[in-house]
Amino acid sequence: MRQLEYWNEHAGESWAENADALESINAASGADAMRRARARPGEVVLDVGCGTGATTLALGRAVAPGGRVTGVDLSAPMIREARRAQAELDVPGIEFLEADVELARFEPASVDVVFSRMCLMLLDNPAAGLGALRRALRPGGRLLATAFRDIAENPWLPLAVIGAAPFIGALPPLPLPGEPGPFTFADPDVPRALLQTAGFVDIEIVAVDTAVTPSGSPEDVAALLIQLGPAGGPYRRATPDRRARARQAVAALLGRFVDDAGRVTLPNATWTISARRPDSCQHEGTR
Amino acid sequence: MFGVVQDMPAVSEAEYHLVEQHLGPDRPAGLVAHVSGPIDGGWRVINVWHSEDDFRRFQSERLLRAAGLAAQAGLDPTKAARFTALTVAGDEMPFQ
Repeated sequence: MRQLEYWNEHAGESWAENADALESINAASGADAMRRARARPGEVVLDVGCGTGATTLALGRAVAPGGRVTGVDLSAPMIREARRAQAELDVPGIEFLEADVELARFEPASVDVVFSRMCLMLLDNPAAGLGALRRALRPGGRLLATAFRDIAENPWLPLAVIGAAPFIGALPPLPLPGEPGPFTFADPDVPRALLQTAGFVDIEIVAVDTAVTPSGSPEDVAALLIQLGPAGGPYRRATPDRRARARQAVAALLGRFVDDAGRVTLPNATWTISARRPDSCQHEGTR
Repeated sequence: MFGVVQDMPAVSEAEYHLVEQHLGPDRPAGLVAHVSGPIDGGWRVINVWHSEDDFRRFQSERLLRAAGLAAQAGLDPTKAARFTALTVAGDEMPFQ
């Protein structure tokens, strides 16, 4: 399934409706890269796969005054939610663009920082996408991105799909190897090779371990995790009784991550990926 | 035709049969051939399908549901399967 269809017809509405709660899970996956981005006042930033806009707004505060941040996402429902949040918070210098980063034509050499939280591994054609982002960066401009490490290090990720599956309708097809999915960049040699081919230099890939501690009971957390992934669409369309049974089943599987106080703590294993466009076009060859 | 190798590290034969039991008795639509057996420390399934769509439909509509029911019955759901797609040449054998 192409990402455009997935994020508009399956997952986008769930993410938009639960933006704040889902951000409590997703924030940990971007915090290290956000620090390393060192976005400064006056800089121009592209936030790729901005979703409902939390990272875009944070970057907007970092580059104020005088800076600009464009949040790009191909999900119409999520961009709608991002624009609503922007109108409410009124952070200056922000715009949101509903577009596929692989096809969008950014102004060449116009961006100081490309930031992307958990999105690059989902691109249908990451080589094309990274090439477009390299061209958008000014010489010397930097890219900061995050991606999941292996599924074995993120053992909570499959639980929502497996736990909910018996109670909701057919799920969208899961990715096969080589297709975009949460673990496409689990082997760090994959993003490294893609970045090298796209013309990036100074590539660094660092393992970051965080703990995700969403608020609420295990069943509350189960509901969020279901809506975060491919079970989200079928869950939304299921009857209330089936939704409740799905939540209970996922909550039971989450038991291993629940402490004595009933709090869910999920181990979150990600890569922080940093790279740079060469300072001079002379070093970029013919790409 | 479309082939899929499904490797399940750390899954035992009993756990594999737990999933199989929840798949039910009906032959999945589009399944041409199915074999399975032990690999080092786990279990491997090799399926050949008439088409990739047949596999994806099976995964969406039956396999994940069966894995979910097996998880309720005690299968450790974090023992994730690794799928490898195969290009399978040739047609189905012309005899029964």
